[in-house]
Amino acid sequence: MTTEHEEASLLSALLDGELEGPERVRLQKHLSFCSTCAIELESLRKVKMVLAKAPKKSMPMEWIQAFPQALTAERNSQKNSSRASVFSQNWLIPALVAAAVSFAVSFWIFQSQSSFPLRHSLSLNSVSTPVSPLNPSSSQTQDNTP
Amino acid sequence: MIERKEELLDPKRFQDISEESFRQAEFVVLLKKNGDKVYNFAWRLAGNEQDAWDLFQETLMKAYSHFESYDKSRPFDSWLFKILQNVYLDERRRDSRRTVASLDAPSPISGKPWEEILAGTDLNPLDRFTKEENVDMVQKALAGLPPLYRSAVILCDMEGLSYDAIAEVMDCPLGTVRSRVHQARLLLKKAFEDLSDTFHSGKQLQ
Repeated sequence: MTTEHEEASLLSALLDGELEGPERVRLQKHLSFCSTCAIELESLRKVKMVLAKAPKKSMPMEWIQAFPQALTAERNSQKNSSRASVFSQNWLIPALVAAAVSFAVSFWIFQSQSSFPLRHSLSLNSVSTPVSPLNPSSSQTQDNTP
Repeated sequence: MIERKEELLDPKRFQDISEESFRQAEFVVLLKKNGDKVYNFAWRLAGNEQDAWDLFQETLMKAYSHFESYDKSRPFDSWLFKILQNVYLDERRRDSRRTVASLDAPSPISGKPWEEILAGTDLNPLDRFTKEENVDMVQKALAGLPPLYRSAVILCDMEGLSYDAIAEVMDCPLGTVRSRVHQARLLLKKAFEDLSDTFHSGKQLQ
């Protein structure tokens, strides 16, 4: 096994030209007498070769030409979604309802508080100047006095 | 009305438009030079054209929106590879329907644990492949790898990046790159072997 001889990943590093200095020399020396590692290196080289020779896909050019338009469309959709998202917030409608209710309640309280002293003063006036059917208006008697 | 006219004729507005057009043109030029490599990486990572297409488009949108942060002294393809890799991993994390392969999980190729496959020493499975056969085999074998191993080996063997460049794309130390590339190759060797056996036994049955 390679792992018993050398750190296995050094073989891949050697294959990729990523091993330098004493490590490279030491591994090459090891490979000269270790057939297990040499065979392992060969199989790794084959895997690398298969991948390197595998067919490649090209980027479709028409999409690149249409990229600016696609970008504009994407931005517009982002703008619309951000606008829509403000109205689609779950908290917005309950918050508006709560605000409306609290406004209505505070308005009602204000109205009732402001109208109470008026009614109160009216009732006080009526008490201070009672109109009794048995007693004719005092103002008249007062007026008649010399 | 007057205010609107003034807004429309504001020179700053035209400056913004020309800057935007210039930015787009610059991006498209860089993309034309490097797009093939990046699209190929997307295809190999995603495993099929539809997913590759989605991945590629999302990468470009993200890249363009962060284009100011791109350091022009560095290679554009590596920058795009990095964004694509992150988009891909984010998608994998988000999409719970797709299972992310780990070393503890059974391999989708042979049903054996990865640890067992890595310990295997079978040799030369690739000799039995013809050119046509390996086209499909490569994609199938890559699809069976854990995502980080897949990225590392694609960038190394298919896109020809150095370990340094891969470390930058994958945001990991050099030693990790070396280990991932090596482990990926061992897994691929085993996967090719299994796929080749299946393929040839199927041929014999026919």
